[in-house]
Amino acid sequence: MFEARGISKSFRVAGRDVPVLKDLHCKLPSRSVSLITGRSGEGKSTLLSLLAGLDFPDAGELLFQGDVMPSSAMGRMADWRRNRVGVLFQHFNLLPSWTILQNIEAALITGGMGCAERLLRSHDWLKRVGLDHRHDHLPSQLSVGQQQLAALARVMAAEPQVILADEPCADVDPETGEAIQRHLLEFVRAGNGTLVVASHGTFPQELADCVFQLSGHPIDS
Amino acid sequence: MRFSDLTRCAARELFRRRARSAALAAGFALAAAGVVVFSGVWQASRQDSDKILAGTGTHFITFRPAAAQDCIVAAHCPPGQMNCPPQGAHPFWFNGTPTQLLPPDLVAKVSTLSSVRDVSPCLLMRLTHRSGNPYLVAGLDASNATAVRTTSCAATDILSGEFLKPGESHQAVLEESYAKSQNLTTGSGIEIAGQPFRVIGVANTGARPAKADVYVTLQDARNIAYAGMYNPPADMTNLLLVEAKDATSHERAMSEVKAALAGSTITSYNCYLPAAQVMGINQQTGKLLLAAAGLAAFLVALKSQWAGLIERRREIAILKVLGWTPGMLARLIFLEALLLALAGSVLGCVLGQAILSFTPVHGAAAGLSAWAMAIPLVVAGALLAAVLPVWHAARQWPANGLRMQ
Ligand SMILES: Nc1ncnc2c1ncn2[C@@H]1O[C@H](COP(=O)(O)OP(=O)(O)OP(=O)(O)O)[C@@H](O)[C@H]1O
Ligand SMILES: [Mg+2]
Repeated sequence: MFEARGISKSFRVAGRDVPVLKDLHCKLPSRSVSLITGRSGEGKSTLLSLLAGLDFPDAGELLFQGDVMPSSAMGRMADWRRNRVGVLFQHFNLLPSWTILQNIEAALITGGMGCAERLLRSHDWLKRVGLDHRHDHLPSQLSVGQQQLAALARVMAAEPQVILADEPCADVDPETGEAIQRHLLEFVRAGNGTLVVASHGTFPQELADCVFQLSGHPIDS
Repeated sequence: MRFSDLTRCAARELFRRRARSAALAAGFALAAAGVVVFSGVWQASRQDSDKILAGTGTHFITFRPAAAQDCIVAAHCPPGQMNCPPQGAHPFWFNGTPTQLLPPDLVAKVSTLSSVRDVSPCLLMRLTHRSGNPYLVAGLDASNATAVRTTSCAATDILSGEFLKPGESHQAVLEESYAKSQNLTTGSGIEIAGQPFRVIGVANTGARPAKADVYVTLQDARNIAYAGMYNPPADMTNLLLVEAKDATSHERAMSEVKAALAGSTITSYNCYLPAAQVMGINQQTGKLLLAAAGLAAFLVALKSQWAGLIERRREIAILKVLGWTPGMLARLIFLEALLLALAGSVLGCVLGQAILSFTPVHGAAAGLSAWAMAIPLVVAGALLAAVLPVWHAARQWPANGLRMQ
């Protein structure tokens, strides 16, 4: 599981520090669905990016399954993240000049998986999210919701242990949202994965095993 | 990650950003073409200057001066029969000075020096005409085409008649001025030290250092000298005509020959030194220009690759999130640079070769050696220019790149 001990993070903008997370403590259990909620700007995405090792905390420690993560060492965090953590971004972060098939392959290529297996798995996941007929399209040629589905396929195809999902259902119609939820829940229930979702309300709280409310330091209230 | 996958990704990336790739490859091509053209023109001008120097200053003459009263002949007189010629009648002469004879093994010794291209023995004598006027007779190796040609007389100097032929005897070639003053022409008969000779040619040797009035074969000259001696030494020689390997080895050749013959004096054309120095300066300028071209290519590549990296910051951050390690990204960026530099530089070499074939510079042509210089230079420049972007990309936290939408 993830554990945050006294995490602080602020950003330096226009010459002054903007505090986002202050002395944050939380525990997010393994093999379950954890939901981080809070109002906009409270730092949900920031916390997810710290958990994923995409950024470093100013203070405090992060632990994963009891071990302190090398949060300030970029290279070691990259190794830690590899083949372990999948991130579903609020803004999808698909590679804009790669087709969606290539986007999925990009996540599989690093492990040295053979080309045939890679294609099989990529197409399989594109089929599951209903986008296989668009496999040679660029992200910009898809609707916002379809981009969300492509991003989901990319994360799922890599078969990580942990998925950190930032507003996974925010930009899709209710039906598609439910499909996304179904895939994510299946990842936890059937695949024994750990799911951490950050959402300000678009992900049903009742699906979560554990809810963590980010509050107390809203910078815009 | 497999190398084939990495190569595919790199090629795809270059193809995706066709315009930028083409611009960068064109930059590399220009740099390579510049190197090829420059090296072609440079080599041509070097060959030209070498030729000029070869015509003026890559040859010299070595001899050992003797005091006027030294009697060389005395050494070869029977004991008690000292019959030295009177002072001033010393026969072995060069440059207005009496000379000693040289050791017979010197020619073989000098010819083994790496700085020497050719060496030829010569016997230059000052004889006295029946009228009482002194004149110079040079005995030349008529079969020698290099050292003799540049320092004394050669077939190319013949104005009428023909040049001495090896193996023939009692034939002479006259210097034009001497022939005129003596009213002699081709076909005339003359007498040298009491021996009859037939004039077979008249020549004008210009300002050659081993200039004489009469040229005969070395063997004839030795026979003339032997006539006045008892027990004469073999292979009599008083001058060595030397051709250095090239203008740049001239100075070394002179000092090596001098070392081989203690007490010798060297006569050379004075202009060789500044000319060789100018050539040295040209080479320095060439190297400097080449370095400047390399630096320019490097800076262009650096700027372009840096701009490309800024453009791709978000993409690189996403790849990091997807599990690409800094090492994999570094390999990708280096491979892209390598592919572009290889393609660009090969294209540039072809372009440079084409430019050279149309260039008006005489003899300018670059061979494989220019390619072998241009391609590694450009590739090295491109890879070096990629180091900074790669280092920067590796150090960035993914979150920084992801913020750039
Ligand atoms: N790199 C950054 N530079 C400057 N400010 C930042 C940076 N990243 C986050 N912030 C600031 O941190 C605060 C929290 O941002 P964050 O994206 O984590 O909020 P959030 O809780 O996910 O909001 P939302 O619900 O709208 O997604 C915001 O005020 C944002 O401006
Ligand atoms: Mg957010």
